[in-house]
Amino acid sequence: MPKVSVRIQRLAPETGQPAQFDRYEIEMAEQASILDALFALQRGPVPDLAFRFSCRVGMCGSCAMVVNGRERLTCSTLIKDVSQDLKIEPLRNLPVVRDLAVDLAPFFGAYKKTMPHFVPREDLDPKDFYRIPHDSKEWKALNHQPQCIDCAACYSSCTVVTLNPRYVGPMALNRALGLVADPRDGRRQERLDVVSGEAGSFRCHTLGNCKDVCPRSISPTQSIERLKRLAVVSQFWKIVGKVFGRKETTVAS
Amino acid sequence: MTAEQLSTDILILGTGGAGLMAALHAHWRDPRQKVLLVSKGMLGKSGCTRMVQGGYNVALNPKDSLQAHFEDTVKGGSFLNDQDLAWHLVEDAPRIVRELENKIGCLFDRAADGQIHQKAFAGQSFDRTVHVGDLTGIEIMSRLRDQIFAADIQCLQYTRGLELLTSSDGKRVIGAVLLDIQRGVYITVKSKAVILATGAGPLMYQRAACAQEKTCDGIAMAYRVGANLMDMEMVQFHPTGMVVPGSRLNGALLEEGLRGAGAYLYNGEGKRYMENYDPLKKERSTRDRVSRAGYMEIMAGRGTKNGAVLIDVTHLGAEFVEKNFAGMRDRCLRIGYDLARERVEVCPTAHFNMGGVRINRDGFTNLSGLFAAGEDSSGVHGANRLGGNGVAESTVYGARVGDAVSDWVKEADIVEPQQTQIDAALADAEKFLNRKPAESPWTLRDELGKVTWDRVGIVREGPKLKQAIVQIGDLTKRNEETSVGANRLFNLTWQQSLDMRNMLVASDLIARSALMREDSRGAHFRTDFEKTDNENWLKNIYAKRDGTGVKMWTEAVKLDKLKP
Repeated sequence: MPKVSVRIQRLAPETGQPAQFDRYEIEMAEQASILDALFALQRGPVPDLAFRFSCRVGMCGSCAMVVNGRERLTCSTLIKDVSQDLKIEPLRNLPVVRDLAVDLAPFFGAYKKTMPHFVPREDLDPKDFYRIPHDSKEWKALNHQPQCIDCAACYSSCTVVTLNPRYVGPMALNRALGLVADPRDGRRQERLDVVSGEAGSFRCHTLGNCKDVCPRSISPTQSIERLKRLAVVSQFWKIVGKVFGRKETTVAS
Repeated sequence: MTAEQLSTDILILGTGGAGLMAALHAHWRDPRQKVLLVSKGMLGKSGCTRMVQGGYNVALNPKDSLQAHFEDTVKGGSFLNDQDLAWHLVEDAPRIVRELENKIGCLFDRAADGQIHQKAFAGQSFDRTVHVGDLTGIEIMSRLRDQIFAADIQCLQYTRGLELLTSSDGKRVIGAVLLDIQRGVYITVKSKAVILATGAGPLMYQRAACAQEKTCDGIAMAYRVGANLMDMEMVQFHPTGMVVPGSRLNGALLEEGLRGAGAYLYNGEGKRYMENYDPLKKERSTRDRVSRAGYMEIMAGRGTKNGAVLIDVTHLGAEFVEKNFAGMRDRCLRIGYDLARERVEVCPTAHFNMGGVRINRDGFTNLSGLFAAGEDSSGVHGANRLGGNGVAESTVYGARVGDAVSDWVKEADIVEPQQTQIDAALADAEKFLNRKPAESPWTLRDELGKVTWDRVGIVREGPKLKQAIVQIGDLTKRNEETSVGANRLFNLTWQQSLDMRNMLVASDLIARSALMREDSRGAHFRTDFEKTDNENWLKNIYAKRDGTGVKMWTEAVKLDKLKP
């Protein structure tokens, strides 16, 4: 592979100086990833470059950055599939700790607001595995999208987050659907109330940036649309319940 | 140089499966006790539990049994396992996997009839591996992290352990000195108990599979304060690491389930070479055997031109592979190979430390106040770990230690640390900064990678091990002289000097233990002692720091449950 030109953001917040872009020319192997380019810079001209990584196989979701204007998981993106001329920036919508590393606290803070932990249904048998046959309604209702690695690429790309930082964002909502649709979970109604609140699913403008940048090919937009429908149905049954004393059947659709 | 100060009841170093399970169990057992988690990376994202592909071994099916799982584990470990530890692994696994499913929230894969699905792994007499597709670790770690959030357990992220603190007689561990990597600030933590769960990690080898922060920090810290270590020579090489020259992806895994499902392995000449090494089990033999066979084929000149062998699952049908191994196929597609439709080059890769801190069934070590769980510990897997027993170990033993420590700290007190010990730890870390330009730790890392791979690797012999010990000693001296610039904030090259210090401690102990063990067993193979010698070597090798040297001894394995 010919030489690759890499521009990287350097930012040391403690100096009060604005971010600057330094350009380097490096030689990279044919199958090298964007993350490999950062490792090469670290071993060469920029030994104190700050960036995050862990598993380097696309499972931990630590190394998402903005590469040539678009969010990408850098370990899983080959240089040759992007360009010989790279510009690498930290994720958007999040404060920068240093150089290419952002502080994910607001991202996980938003996630925590959605009650993201599983709470077993009271009648769930702790000694068994809840049966979910593949031809059942419960199975079909599960969130069958690929597993989320909470890399925050979607959060970075979401213009609603930019305009309204209180919006919990695509990742939190996609995962909320996972629990809302989980027949083992005991907090379905509370979850629906939270995610259909003012910081939740109805804020989404369905622009689909999240889906475009997701390295796991998840469509959070699709999950959010489902959440909206479930919230509307749940509201309907609440009213019916008040008026006629009837309850919704719990299978999510 | 000063340090911030914290105090807690239970300090847990490491946030993989073992660390998070220990934290949750300690918290659930007694929520009044303060638990402090310390993660070298990000909570829920660092460590190897996150990277678990295949799954979780557990005897659930009525046709399976604890005894069968136990026998597979001990036979797979060439009888070097601590049988009490191996037994508690298999005995607790059903309870813990149900806890993961029904309390923590993991939704494991179901078979078409709705029952829990268990897939085939290599080296096992029954299909007992519970999983979520071929990327199981994402589910387990995400859900554990969510429960940590719910329990509101505090976690210092991007913070590493530097040294453990001890009482003045050296017999009790009373806390630790930490370094906040992002802020460049030291922190001393006074703690009634310290749980090591940093995940060991054989990253000292030039080809390694594990997460990039796993640099044997826990093992090295424990060694420096006098903990007993065991089986350090036992380093697992996984047979099917990816071959990606010039990329950190090199050495990353293609999962065990491929061989479980019936993958073939071919050498560069197109021969299914496992027929020559284990005619009965062939590719479904244990990792130690399959790795060694691959290595020997390559060394004998029968590899591909990239120095690799080939894994082939095309005969299972493209649709089957796409459905069941989507993650592995993705991983290969990224570098231009379609696992479902063609053979893919693989080569053994360093994967797991069976050796580590000597523990009992509740994670106690020889030092009061110091506990260990998961890959930092030793004894569960003996001389070779079965695929699928790793995440079982980290969650089972994390839970056991969390419960035990929660009870133990009730009777324990906080001890004031010795200022001299804190000052020494700070000075030892600080010295790399603001030096005149000197060697970079990255250069030394490459040298260490080659020394360990060539001389302390899959195939070993006495003279080479002796050379390695000398070379590792030389690298140890040179590493202490490395220079990392002046920046103390989020300076990963500084961290690399500190990582190297720990990897060098572990490398030295691996080489010394390998030299001492004069037989071949499990992952340890000596060309000068090719036979498994049950007469003389059904023994564990122990190592412990003795002043500036190392004291080593052997103890016979207790064969009270199963004999060879």
